[in-house]
Amino acid sequence: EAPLGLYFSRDAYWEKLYVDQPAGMPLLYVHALRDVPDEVPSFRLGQHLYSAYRKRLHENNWIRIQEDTGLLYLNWSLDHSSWEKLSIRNGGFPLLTVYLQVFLLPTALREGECQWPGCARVYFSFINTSFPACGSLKPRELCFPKTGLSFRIRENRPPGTFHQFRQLPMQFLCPNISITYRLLGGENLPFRCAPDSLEVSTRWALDRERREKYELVAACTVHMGAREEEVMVPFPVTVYDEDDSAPTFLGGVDSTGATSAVVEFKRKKGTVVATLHVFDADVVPASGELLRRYTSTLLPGDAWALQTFRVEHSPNETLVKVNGSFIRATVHEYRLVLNRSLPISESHALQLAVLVNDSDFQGLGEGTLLLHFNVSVLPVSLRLPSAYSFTVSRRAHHFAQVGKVSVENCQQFTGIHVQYDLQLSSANCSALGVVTSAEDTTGILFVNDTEALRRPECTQLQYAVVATDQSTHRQAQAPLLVTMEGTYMAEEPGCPLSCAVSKRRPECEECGGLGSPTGRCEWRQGDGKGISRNFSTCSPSIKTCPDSHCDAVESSNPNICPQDCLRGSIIGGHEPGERWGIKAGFGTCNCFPEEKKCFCEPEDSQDPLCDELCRMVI
Amino acid sequence: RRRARARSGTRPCGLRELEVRVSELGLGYASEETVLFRYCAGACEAAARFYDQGLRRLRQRRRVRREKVRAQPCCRPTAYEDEVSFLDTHSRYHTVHELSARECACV
Repeated sequence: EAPLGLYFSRDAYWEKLYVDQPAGMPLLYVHALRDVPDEVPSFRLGQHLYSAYRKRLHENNWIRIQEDTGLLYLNWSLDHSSWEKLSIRNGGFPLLTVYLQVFLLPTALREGECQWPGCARVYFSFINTSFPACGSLKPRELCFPKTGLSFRIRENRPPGTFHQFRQLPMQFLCPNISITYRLLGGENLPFRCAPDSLEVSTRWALDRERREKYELVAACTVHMGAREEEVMVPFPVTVYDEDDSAPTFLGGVDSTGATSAVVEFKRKKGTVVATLHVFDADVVPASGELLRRYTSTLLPGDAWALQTFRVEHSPNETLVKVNGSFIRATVHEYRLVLNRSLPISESHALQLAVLVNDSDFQGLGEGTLLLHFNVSVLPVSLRLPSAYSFTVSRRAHHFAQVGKVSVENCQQFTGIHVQYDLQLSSANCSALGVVTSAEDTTGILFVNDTEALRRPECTQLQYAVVATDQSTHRQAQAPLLVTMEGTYMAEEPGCPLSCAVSKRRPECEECGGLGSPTGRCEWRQGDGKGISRNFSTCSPSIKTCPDSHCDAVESSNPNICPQDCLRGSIIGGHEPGERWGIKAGFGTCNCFPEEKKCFCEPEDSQDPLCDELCRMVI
Repeated sequence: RRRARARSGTRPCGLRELEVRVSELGLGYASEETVLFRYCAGACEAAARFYDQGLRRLRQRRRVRREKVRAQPCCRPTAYEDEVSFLDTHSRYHTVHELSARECACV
């Protein structure tokens, strides 16, 4: 906001009003502090009284203000009928609180736009009786307003008076009660309470970067005849910030003021390449304005760099210890981010500069900072191991997993798309296939043709594994030798297609199913502890199913591993998987992939009750 | 041989209510919450058809032996409550579908 020149030390004031209080009674003082020396505040009241819900009730005929001192006083007594009138205008809601707006001149007076620092609200709580007898008032009521005091003071501004302790109506109506005030909490603090006027003022300009909060205590002593009573209330002062600190470096920087980064295996758009932190002792501009006023510009180098990188900025509030107390400050994180996915052939070395500008900075010198990033983009070459060798049982079923192939460092790849293929180099015994697993850029070999497995002439298969990068079409090759072992045995009749159908161990282990590498399903015995990830189930191979992950082979047919891949309903105590399948189950889980259903239930030897009821007994 | 069970006083097939703790359902969920469990119960004699009589006689004559057959209508839900959700003792929510019956009929 534009500097207004003057500001209120509070945004809200509180006072009580009773019925039939005399005209001329002083109510309270409002205080304004200066932004520059020699300013003289001039106060003006808004035209209307408002209800607590911002409803305009009536023109203000009762309360006046002294323009120069900020003293509000009753110009006209408020009787019952005036209050009745105000209550009726409030639309039937009980009227307990009204407020007035106080403006600071010379600001634009616009009713309805009452915002600190140029405007404050003065709330009056209405008590529907006349003022009580002075003797019946408690010290707390005599000393302080009902609502707590709290003050706002801007840093680096001329000192001034911001509060007056005296409760004016009390003094006016109960002049015989003697009340004295003290300010406790540190003698060397920049606050002072004048003994005669009971005004509280700052002694010198404050600095938020040194201290942000002053938790003072106001003490009040009431002398009633021979009795003395002391009341204490908190008296917090908050120091408001202005942009008087320039941004500075904070860690992650070498002696040349630069940070280095390498782009190699992580080449995906959105990858954070490097991070630099910038420290600013200020907490302004506030979050709503911050990104607009705290700019970062990637300085034009070559077009390639501007296309490839962008800068992301996220500010975070932090706490800094100063003289044993914590002060808020801001740490700006600047991340250099890939703006596009880089092909594996790209290779570059460059230095990027980012200009950070704290455009609100009002101190001496520059509010700018130059960040340097030394970035090396290295090319990636696809390399496969020298040779692969696997064995397959002749009893393996379709989709049985044989092994994995992968290029070097593929676990770290992001944004690199490699596809694996098999090229048959021997006789037409093509028994295997390969699928590429997108998550970890590996290839999974699986049995694709069981008939070819069993042919007597197919005992050893020679393949070439080819890994191809999708964007550059660069390739790597490795030989693959697959050896058949064991003898084929025919399947038991009446076995289901899927291992997951079986509900008990014996029927599980005497059958095979889609995806089983040995020709037999495997039983996994769970721990039987409630709904557990380790549930009992029948699967083609415990190594791959269930593992809460529907891999590239399993996803190609719903009968292989519905425990990981089911997209349907699970009946019984369970926790569904993150995307599909069963994450945890109660007891034994079996599935009917054709019906898209799984059932989880502990083994139960009792017959269901309905069967008994409905059984025809002869 | 048992006498016909149709005594006067057996309630016809309909919806019954039970307030149960989630843990009592024995589904493995550890939760302190209570749910309203509606189920179907009651007699279905009046819903028998020619089909039931015929099937019963064929079964007595051992014409139907192989399979499990039901020669009597059964009181079952024809519609279910969509879902019930509850919090378990580990502060995790669970939603169970079709736990409780909404309509019953002799089928």
